[in-house]
Amino acid sequence: MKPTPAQIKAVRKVLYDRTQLKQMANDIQQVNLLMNISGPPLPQNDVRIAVGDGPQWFIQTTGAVDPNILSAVASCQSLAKRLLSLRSAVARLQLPPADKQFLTTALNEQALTWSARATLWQQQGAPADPAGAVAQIAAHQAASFAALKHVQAYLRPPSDFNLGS
Amino acid sequence: MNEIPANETWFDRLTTTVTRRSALKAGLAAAAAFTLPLARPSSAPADSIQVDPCFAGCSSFGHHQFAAAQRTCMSNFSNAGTFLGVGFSTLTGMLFLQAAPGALAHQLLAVRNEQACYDNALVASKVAQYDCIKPACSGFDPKQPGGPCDTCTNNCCVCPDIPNGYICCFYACDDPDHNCCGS
Repeated sequence: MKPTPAQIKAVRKVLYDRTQLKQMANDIQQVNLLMNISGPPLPQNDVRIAVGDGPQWFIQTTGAVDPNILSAVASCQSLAKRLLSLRSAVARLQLPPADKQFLTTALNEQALTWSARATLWQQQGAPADPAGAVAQIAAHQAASFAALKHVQAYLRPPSDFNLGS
Repeated sequence: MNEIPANETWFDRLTTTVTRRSALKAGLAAAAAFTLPLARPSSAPADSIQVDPCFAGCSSFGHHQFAAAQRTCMSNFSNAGTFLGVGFSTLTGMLFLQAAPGALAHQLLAVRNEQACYDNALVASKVAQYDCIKPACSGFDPKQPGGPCDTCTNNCCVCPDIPNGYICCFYACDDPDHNCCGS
């Protein structure tokens, strides 16, 4: 069953809510910044050496997880929460059942991706099974994208936002 | 930082800050900064636990390894990176993905692989850094390839006050007359 223009419009209204997008983009920027993946140059005496050199995972003197990591974890959890909120909003719409299923699955699995990262990152010590932990994240990502492929009609093209091609 | 044209939207500004180009620029700036002698805190707080002197070098090596891994992620998945920005930008990216059906599948796969690359790099750095806080840095070898003493032909001495944590020294590390590390 093909979605009607009104249904597509209703989904886009949820997915592309300007306030939500801005908050999610901010959360992602916080993650990149706090995990020292990207951002402005670091102070000269920063223990993380330089921007892009990754996070300091542990407090040297205690072995506890570094506060920056815990802040990044909070951003991950915030992202997951916002995605689940989007999922709930989409679930309330009148849509072709299969499309609704794919959309809610895509959002739910994307939320689980961020939750899995949060769990892995805040864990004390080193993960017992690093490869398994990453595989778990990747599995949620794969499930999310697999569902997304079926509901392309509801997505907006990047050109709408001048994001390039 | 890039100039932001006046006609761009708030979202353009958000994405501009994490484009591959800006990340590369930041990387170059970081590389330049790295060549300068960085001053680390030379004294620990009074109530701190004494850590092995190898920590600074071990930790520094871990950061170098992460930077190298991140460069690999950026290099191998440049298409996804150009579109979505470096690091974790999948979420906003996934909502804006709409290409020809074949291209979409390809792009999603590229993004998925890029994110997995970052996840792998991060978990590897966590494992490596955990080793650094354990006794004797879990046997960290500063002479390993890419390590702080990789190119040393003589002695490799601990020197926690410099960024690499170790220094190559012609004299023995415990030579009382020649302290390569300074005091």
